[in-house]
Amino acid sequence: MSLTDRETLAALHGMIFGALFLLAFAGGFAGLYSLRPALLTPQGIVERSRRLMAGTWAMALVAWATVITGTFIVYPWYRAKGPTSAKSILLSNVNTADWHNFGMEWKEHIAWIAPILATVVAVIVAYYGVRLVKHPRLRIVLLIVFTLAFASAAVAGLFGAFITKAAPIH
Amino acid sequence: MSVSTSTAVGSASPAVEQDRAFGFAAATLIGGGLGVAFFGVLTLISELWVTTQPGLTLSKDVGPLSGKAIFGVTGWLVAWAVLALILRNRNVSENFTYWTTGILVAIGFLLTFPPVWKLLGA
Repeated sequence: MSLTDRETLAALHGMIFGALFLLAFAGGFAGLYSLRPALLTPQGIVERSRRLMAGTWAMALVAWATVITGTFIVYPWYRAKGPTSAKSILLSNVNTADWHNFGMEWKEHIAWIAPILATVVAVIVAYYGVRLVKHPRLRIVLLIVFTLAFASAAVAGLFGAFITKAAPIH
Repeated sequence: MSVSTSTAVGSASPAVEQDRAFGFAAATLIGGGLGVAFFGVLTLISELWVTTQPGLTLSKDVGPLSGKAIFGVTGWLVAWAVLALILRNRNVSENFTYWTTGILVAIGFLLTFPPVWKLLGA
């Protein structure tokens, strides 16, 4: 049981950073959703706000780590010239060409939306701190922005998994 | 840009000091929307006019995605900084902020979707 250097870095990109962002989303969403005065004591709001701040910043950093490692480390191996690269293998067969022409083309672009939107949420959560509880409309907007960050990461992650299954990087 | 009072709910909260101005949050939201839309526009330009791809290729190994990523993120940070300077102490309309952000983010999502490029002639 062993992994090559490329497989290790591809796993770090998708299975560690990417998966961590997707898995942490539910916790962040629940934290934002329940940040309401009617549901929490004053001490609870302070504690929940601190946790939310740490969580959203951690998620934003992980989202950046995911797209940076994906774009600048893994993607060059995927698109390398020559018949053995994942892209060449996918395009060589009409039955798998759409994994590149649609899947990879969408994935490589939509992925960059996730860290931008996750950072927007983290910055506003940190800016307001405990005061966010007083802004129900803003909190709902942040929930939507956070969900869009998750959706873009989910599309990228899903196609990443399918493409890796169709043409793994070795 | 219209100005409105905040819709904050102030009663059942912990010992909270003076509230924050909405201007910086508005700048962050609209700036984020501009970043996403800018990335989408760069993607569309790169797909519609293939001759722009060498200009976007900042790394030979990564190809045009390197330029889209670096220029897109730089554009987002610059737009955010400028908006923050302009709006930070203003009480910006929440409706205006949310609708503008929503439209910009929708543009970004649409322009990163490959069938849309084809629909527009790529």
